[in-house]
Amino acid sequence: MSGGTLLRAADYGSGATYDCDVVVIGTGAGGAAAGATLAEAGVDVLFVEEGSWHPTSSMNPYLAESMPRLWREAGTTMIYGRSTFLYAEGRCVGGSTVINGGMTYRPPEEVLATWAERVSPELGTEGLEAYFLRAEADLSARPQASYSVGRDNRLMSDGAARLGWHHQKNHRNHDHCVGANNCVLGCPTGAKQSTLVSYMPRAMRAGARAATELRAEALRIESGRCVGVDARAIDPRTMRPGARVQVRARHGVVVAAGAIQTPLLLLRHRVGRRSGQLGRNFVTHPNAKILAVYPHEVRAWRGVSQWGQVREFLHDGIVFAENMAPPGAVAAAVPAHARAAWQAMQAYNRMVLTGVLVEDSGAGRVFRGPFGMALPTYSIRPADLARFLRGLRYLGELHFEMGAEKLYLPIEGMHEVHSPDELRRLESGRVRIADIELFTPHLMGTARMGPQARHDVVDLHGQAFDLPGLFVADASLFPTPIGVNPQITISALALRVADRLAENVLHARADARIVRGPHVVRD
Amino acid sequence: MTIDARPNSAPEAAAPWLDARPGSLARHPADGWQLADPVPLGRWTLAALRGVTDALLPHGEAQAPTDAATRDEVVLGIRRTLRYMAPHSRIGLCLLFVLIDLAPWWTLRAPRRLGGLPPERAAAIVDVVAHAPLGVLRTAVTAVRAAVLTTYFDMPAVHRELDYDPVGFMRERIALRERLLAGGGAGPEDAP
Repeated sequence: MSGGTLLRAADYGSGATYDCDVVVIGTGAGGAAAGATLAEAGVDVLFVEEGSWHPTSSMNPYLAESMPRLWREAGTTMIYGRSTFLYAEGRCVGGSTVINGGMTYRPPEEVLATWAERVSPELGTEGLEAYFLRAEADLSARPQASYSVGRDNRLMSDGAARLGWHHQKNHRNHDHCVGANNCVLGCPTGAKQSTLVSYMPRAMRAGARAATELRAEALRIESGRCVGVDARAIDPRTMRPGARVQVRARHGVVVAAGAIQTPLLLLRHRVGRRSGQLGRNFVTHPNAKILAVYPHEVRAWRGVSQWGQVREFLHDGIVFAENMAPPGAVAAAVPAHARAAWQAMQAYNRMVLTGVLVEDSGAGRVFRGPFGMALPTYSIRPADLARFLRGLRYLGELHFEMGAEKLYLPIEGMHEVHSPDELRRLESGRVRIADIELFTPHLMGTARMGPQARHDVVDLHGQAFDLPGLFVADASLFPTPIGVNPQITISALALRVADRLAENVLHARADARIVRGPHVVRD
Repeated sequence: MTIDARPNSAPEAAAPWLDARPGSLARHPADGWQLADPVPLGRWTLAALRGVTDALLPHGEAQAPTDAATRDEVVLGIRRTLRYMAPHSRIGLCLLFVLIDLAPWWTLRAPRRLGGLPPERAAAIVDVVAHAPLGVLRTAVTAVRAAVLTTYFDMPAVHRELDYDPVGFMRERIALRERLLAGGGAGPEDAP
């Protein structure tokens, strides 16, 4: 059975209205998990997704084509502040799960203990256990088999062993991953269990509809309740808005568009006014890359991305991971052009790209900017800069320990270093926040979940305190940063939101049947 | 117009969720998606984009593909990418192309735009800007460099020169996965 229906931009007539029980905005780690849960419970679900449906068979290794297809704004999205930096966000069916590394780390125990203490025991280790187990089973979380591991990952692991550092093998969401190393441009084998190949097919088989190439622009609010969404089709040739579409939802609107797009939509309606927290508490887990050049071939593009992480400095909020990228992306990290860039790139097969991830201690804010554009702001704190510089020095030492002949650092004025001695300059106090080049794929915490309307944006079931019928089910919910890759936590929280909502829908339907039946039931 | 029935009255598309097979790994796969049209640029901006592209692409390197068709393809690729960018980013990047193209003037190195200079000279002037004391100028070079070099180093002809063959490698891995899914095993020879 093929199940649901897929709609594209050309399918929408102007002024069209679609009815459903629940509309889910977004199809990433949160939206797809919530939508599949609801659809399988018998709820009539309609997804609204800004991007297109790109099946596994369409994935390819070409950066300049795949980024416009799969990444928001072709990967040019920026967070503004002291050290303005790029962020990655998926804009396709499957959302950021199509372009991420597929890590399935639960938050550390201490994070869940904080959530349990500060927010609710329901968000503690025990309260979320069943949801984590479900999400891990749904996404097939497991370590990598050795046949998928390339030489760059072995270098990281061996380097950590030489230095006596703890190297932990990652659990990733995959089914027989063979290390094609195209995670960031869409898995071409179908092994990575992004929501494109996991939750979305389940939802569609259960009869959900996916309205793709359709951007949610405003919520529909009637009598103080959220009852749907106004959307515009996007012409894929011009990227301009086209037909206006209305989606009416009888039982709820689930917003799962990510920690930037979700508050952007909600800010239009000033949801969460009592707490004043909507758009705040924006955390990003920024990372800084080191491109190491070895004297021998590594061919880091052969083999899985992020077999493991160096977690020796986790207590300091610092993690190292390998993450090789195609030549187009690596060329952008090499501080050269023309002949010098060509000569540097001749070493591509000897390069290893690695990152320092830092658990941020500050928080930014997402604003609704001019013309309704997202304006995420975030500034690196001096303490976090110090951790980045420390992390870069440690990771640089690992590379030199393993025989690297040169490192490209993401530091203005210090792009190339050739020895461990030169690395010491990192902590000389001369590097300013504006000098460091960062990047992040982890965006969290702008519509935080909690028990109190005066502190939080949504309640413990994901429903907005001041707008019944509106639910949030994505990384916006996080009460604090989690220090690890967020996908599995997003899915776990979304499952929790969806379970409760499905229950409510089914109860409401049962109540309606009793009232509408041939004999009205009276007390 | 109200569409309430299921399936609704819009034409039903294929069901890609039923298809989990790998594809040909080719550019422009037939998944019903269209690559956007290139952004139309004014004469000045287009000339600036061409001038900056010519300055940033490698020249004088025998192995580096830099024929006119390659340069045109890079310019076209950037114009397509511009289409996907937010309007403020798109306008900002175009302004940066113009700014860098005019660098020979405002650095007082030559009374011409970059495009009017020999490529080596143009590249050297961009290098001066890349090391300018003003951070905003260094950032401008970083941005235009990323736009040009990302597109250039994504071209198959360039991949060949770098001995980078992702398609061949991915085909091997797809075959390995199919073997594993069929119940076969993997040995040390299957390591990437």
